[in-house]
Amino acid sequence: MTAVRRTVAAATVLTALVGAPVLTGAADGTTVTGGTLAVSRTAGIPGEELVVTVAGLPGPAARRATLERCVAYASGTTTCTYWVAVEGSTGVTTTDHGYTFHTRVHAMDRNAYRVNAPASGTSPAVLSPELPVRGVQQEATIKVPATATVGTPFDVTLAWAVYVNRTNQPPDRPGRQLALQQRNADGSWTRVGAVVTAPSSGAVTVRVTPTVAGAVTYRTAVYAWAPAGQDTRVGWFPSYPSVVVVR
Amino acid sequence: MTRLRTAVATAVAVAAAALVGPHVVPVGEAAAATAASKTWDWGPIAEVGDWEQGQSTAGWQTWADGTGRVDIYYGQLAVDSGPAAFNQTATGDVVTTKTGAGHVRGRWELRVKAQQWAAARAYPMRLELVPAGTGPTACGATTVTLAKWTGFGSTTRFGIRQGASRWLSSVSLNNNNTFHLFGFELTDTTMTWFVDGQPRARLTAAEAPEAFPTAGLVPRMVLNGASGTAMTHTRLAADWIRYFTLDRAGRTVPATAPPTRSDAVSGVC
Repeated sequence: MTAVRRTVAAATVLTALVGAPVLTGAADGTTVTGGTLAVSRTAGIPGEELVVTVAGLPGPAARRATLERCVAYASGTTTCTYWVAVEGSTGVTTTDHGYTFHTRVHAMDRNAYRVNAPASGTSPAVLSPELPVRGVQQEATIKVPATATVGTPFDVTLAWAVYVNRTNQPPDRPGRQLALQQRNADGSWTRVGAVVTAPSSGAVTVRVTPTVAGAVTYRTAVYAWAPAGQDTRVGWFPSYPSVVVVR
Repeated sequence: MTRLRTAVATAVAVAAAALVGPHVVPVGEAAAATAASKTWDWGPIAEVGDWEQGQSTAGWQTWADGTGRVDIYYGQLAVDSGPAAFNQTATGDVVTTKTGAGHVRGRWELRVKAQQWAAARAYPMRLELVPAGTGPTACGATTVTLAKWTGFGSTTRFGIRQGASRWLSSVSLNNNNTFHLFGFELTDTTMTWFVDGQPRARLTAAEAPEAFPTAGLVPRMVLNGASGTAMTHTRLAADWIRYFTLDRAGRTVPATAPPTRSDAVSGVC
């Protein structure tokens, strides 16, 4: 256990300098770090279920604890300068020195989480170690031929992906539904063919037979995702449009 | 194209200063506030869009007639000109408009920035309040301009259009991939435009009663492409959009100069 002692004056100065929060501690301002933290995933699409478990918090077996998330880092570093409480995670009480928090991945490239247990009786405030969880952008793509012929089928590849290290990578999350859509003259979209279910690769090929000549604009629509047995809630997502000239 | 959110530390540091949404509760002291809603004590919040945990564009009408799309990009509502291929130019307009009946009076604030790649002709961009039901490309009889600028150009205009009359002001901003806050307060007697939390123009009913909207207003974000022209790939993104009622009086906002009136205006939003 590492004791981090801060006087009120020092905390006030620090806040003024870098906007850091004033930590809640015992009357003498003592805060200690302790316990262990575990996360159910180290990266996820915003909205994916995230379980954060703290164990071994020093002090009383039962105490209030709050899950916090970093929303600001010192420039060019991973040092958090501003923490906020995760909604719905305040006021909980640990039992047996631990607690499990249920939340969802937030929409930042780098998320960091920690648990903050305020002072309890004579026990000083406790901060758990922090753990990062990377937020990854979902993406949708479509591949169509540049040209097609009326009455002749062509293949369209619909796909969704996770955008990691500046590339689209297979989502490795089987079961998400996709559909091919065609843009109407008024800008609305109409589904073409059936809704299909993507495997782990995220890609599905469908066949289209054009019936009239002209430029047709297609896109992939990736449906909202809430897989059974999880608290994941990821919204639908469109690809950029792509045009097929049908002759 | 840099697809990851750039300058994360800077961006979220500013975000932290402005956070008043429902998903986070600040712990301890916040950095200096810049949002008008915080500076002038607006409230309560009646509508929030912040797309923090996987939300979609539900609740927003989306429209594009070229290479673009409207999506949620790292928690931001983005009108993105596309195309998918890196460093290629775009075509067409991209528009998103909030659905619903809107509000005749109240306070609105948005936190937005724009990014660009593949230089061609720069997109004019607009953040507006328009009567509910206004078409995506329509310049209706009533348009409140919260901000409009072109590309990375610094001249940022705001005002209101009512038929053939327009009241317009401007401010110089760094619009190069930089977040700004645009706010608007509309009461029965005054309308005030805010930029980065500070009042920049005010128009009173005594000065121009005909300027005051009578319809429910909704936010609209526009990338306005030139027809048949290759445009610079641009993404205009809102980190959050909030609507506040007038129930809380708030702090007194000092008077500022009215925007400049022009008449016989046509063909522009």
